[in-house]
Amino acid sequence: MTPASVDIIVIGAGHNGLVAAERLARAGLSTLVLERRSTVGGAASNALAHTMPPVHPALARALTLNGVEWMTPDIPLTAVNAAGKAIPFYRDHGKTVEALSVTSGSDAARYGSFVQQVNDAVRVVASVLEKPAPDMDAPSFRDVLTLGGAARKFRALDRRTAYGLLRWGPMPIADFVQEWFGDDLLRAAIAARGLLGSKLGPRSAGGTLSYLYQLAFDPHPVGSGLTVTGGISAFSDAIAKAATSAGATIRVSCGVRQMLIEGDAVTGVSLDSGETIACRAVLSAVGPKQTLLHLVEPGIIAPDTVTRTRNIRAHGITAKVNLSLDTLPVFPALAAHPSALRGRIHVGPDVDYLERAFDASKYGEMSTDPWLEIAVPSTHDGSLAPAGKHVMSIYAQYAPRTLRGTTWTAARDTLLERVMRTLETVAPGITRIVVNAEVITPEDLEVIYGMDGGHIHHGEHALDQMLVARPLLGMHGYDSPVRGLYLGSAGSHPGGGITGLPGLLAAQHITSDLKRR
Amino acid sequence: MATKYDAVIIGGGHNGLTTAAYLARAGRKVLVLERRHVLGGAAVTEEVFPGFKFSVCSYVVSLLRPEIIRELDLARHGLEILPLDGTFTPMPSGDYLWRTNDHGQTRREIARHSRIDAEAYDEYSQAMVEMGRFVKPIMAMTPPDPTRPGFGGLRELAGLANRFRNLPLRDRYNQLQLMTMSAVDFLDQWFETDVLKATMSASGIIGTFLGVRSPGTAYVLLHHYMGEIDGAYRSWGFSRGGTGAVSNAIAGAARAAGVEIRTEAGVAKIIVSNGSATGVILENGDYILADVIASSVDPRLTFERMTGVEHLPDDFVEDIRRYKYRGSSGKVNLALDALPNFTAMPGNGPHLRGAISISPSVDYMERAYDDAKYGRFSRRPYMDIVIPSLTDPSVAPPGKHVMSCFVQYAPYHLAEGNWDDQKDAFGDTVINTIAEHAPNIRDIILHRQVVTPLDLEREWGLSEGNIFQGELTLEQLFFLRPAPGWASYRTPIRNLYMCGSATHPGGGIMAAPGRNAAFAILGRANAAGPRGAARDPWTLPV
Repeated sequence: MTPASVDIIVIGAGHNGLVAAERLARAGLSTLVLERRSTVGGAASNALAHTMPPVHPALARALTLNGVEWMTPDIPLTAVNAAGKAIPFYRDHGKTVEALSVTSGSDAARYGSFVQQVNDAVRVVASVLEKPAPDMDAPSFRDVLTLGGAARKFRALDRRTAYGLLRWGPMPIADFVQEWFGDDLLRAAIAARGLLGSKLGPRSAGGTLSYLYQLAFDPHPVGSGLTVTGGISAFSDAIAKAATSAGATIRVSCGVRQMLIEGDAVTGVSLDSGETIACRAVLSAVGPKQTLLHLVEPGIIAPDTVTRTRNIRAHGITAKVNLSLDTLPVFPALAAHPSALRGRIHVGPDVDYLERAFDASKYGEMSTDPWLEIAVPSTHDGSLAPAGKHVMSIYAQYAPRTLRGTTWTAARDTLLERVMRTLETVAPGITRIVVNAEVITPEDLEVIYGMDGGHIHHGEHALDQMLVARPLLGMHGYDSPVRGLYLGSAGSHPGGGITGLPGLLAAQHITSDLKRR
Repeated sequence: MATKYDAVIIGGGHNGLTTAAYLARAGRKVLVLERRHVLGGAAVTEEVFPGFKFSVCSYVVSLLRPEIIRELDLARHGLEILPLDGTFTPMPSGDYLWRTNDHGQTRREIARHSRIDAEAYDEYSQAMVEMGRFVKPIMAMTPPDPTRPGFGGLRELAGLANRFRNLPLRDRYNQLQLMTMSAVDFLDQWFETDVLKATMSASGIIGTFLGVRSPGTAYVLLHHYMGEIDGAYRSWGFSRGGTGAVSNAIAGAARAAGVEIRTEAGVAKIIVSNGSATGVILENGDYILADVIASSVDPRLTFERMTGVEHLPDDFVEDIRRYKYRGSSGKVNLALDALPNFTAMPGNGPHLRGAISISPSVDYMERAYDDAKYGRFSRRPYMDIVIPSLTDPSVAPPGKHVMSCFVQYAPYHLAEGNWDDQKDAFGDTVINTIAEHAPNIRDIILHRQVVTPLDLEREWGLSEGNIFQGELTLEQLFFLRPAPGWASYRTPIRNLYMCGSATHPGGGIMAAPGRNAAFAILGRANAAGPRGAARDPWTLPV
């Protein structure tokens, strides 16, 4: 039974909500998590995610996760094309260089310095992202330390790298990869990482920033492809267990309808069931748009803030397709790399292909030829499929949240068709072994999973939506315009991805805030 | 025979002439060397067909710094700016959008399309003026080097941060968005009328290889609110006698200050000995010594062609080679027997006296860009058209007209064929596009001049045909222009300076690079006025 009153209610049992709940409960606050869906994890689940970045040291220090078995593939990603070419990216950069020297000698020579220079630069970015966003208006002592630390790291860079960082941020990822590499497939595979989930094409300015953001949490050039036995859901389940053993209560199938607000402060929430629960504070771990525009009654938040919240750019662009397969799919390009299927596969042969895929989305159409990121997690995790059978997880881009002249209900099959057609180019015959297909459109991401605009990061990772400007300039540091209502989803600093940091940092903020009150 | 000068300026465009004028006024003995037979570079008027004077490349004036007009007394040297009133956008539906400098009239016109937008327009204009005020002083500063925060650099960056912090929240929010968003995303927040957004966003892409939905294009919207002519914000104009008259006025001021100017005097080589520039060798073999060389041509010509990379550090050479030009526009200049008759608004009304923008929808603009991305000129290009002869009859024979069509996109790098083969097809595409809006155009053309990006490179020395001497994108602006660590108008070669559009604050007929460079050469920190009027780098001499 839920008590009629708790210290803090966490809305949404995505991984950020769960991380926050664990921290808040551990700090001695009575904590209740309310999840609308029947399972915890939100987007950090097998249906939506196939890999995650390494657990951030700050999160690892805070949380003890029991029973999580990690798996890092030797080849985190292999880029393949229809001609049968494969570029494996190894965990061990030396091996990648070796592999590249076969396909593209000059790229092999540059790969090492690419990894080095970019990682040096990214450490500066990471140092800002792992702490609360410094307030430029009235920097606290802690903000000064954060900024000072970042400035020191910046100055410690050699000048080339320092200038690299300044130049790269605003650059289109197409220009960035072109500065380093010559091979089309190699360029496309690296570029794709900066584009996944973003409403950006390779030629759109800012794609490199998005790439650097990804690198800050996982410095492998194409991502380390980390997975968990049982899938990403097992990771979320483990956080949920940790939260429960810290004393938090988690209720699923329990949607929040609205905040209860008296004066300018939160006093509780009302549920879809009609039940109301009183509390001292609410942490919303669902997106800022949903929170401020739907969960808070109109009229409470200033019109200007409402307008700016509406203008947060969160237009979903990524679709997810999950296939159950009768047998292991065969990618001819991978014949020489038998362990490649333990990592992910990139399909999208060159930067122009990615750009053309993006073009369609500008006019409200899905890509005729989408690019794909694929994983077959059942190759290394027998728990995910019956013996001999397999599951395949696919990100397909671009699939704009709003289609022109049609709806996602009508276009769902077309999306699947286009994904299968693209798959056939690199895994001929795969259509014949498909037993079942699940298509998750951006509309599903919004409606079923409750993600702002169906955007997997709850908003673009662009300069104007980062740091103090995430979710909005003048509304950062996890506070909201309503006293006692805090924001701690991917829509808050530092942003999206399975990092748990928005939840962690929000919980730290709330704990010290509630102590003061 | 070797004559020695205090300073030799390479290139007689508006920036080179400006640097020369300021140096001469500070008592230096200055020589300007121009490769072409006529001064002005891309700010030039040429009588291409008898009686018809074309502003061949650049065609409107707005950003020319008022302090330069004042300090060089350009009015006395013949500069006269005539107002360019409004922007007329014909639409395929037969409707149009016609914005003029009369705010009330424009508001009524926008209300015809959307009442909400008419309301937003006031708010928008006000916000943009505020933003313009914030940005303008940055134009006149020498960018600091953030990796070497010496005392001055730190102070300036802190000053910049401080000014930003002192803006009201709303303005800070706008400023942040302007610096990073796409023009269309930014305008989407204010307006709903497609043709309005398309026409406004067009200014964000001029001279870049970006589309109106590409992040980073919003910033240029500000330029429309920074243009100052006679102190009035947002006014654009023609200079009487064509754009070349701007260059001629600056040249006049330079000559009056004692500058010697030679045309048909192309520089073949910059002489470097022991890491120091000591003079130049002309294409005709002449040898000229100078204490200081200032190059107003772009980095590719200055360093790769004239200096020789063997004299330069490897890192610098890499940066210069990486600097992006990627010209994306062309120009079609027409000599007309009569005026074009637009279906959307027939007759010779005042709508022809302003800019005519072929930008009927955001998608139209994006599709024009898509063509360019894959290496072909736009099948239906964006165009900014003016008919200066309506305002300044001196540029055409009586009763006749000149029409200048700025055309985008025309990518320098074509996927198939070359620009010499495609030139006529490009010209035809432009005429066909105009004909869709003004069907009589084909019957009234007396002469046609097509300027491709390749022409811009060959004839005007703009590498890859980039009208700004290098893209104006964030990674090539401010302390990154033209190369990281070398935004101070200096170069790795002692006594060799840069003073053209490839330096901060970039292209357009601003002349700010030329003036800033002159102060750098004279050893004055920032652009404090020549008579030491202002000490604070943020305050422009009034």
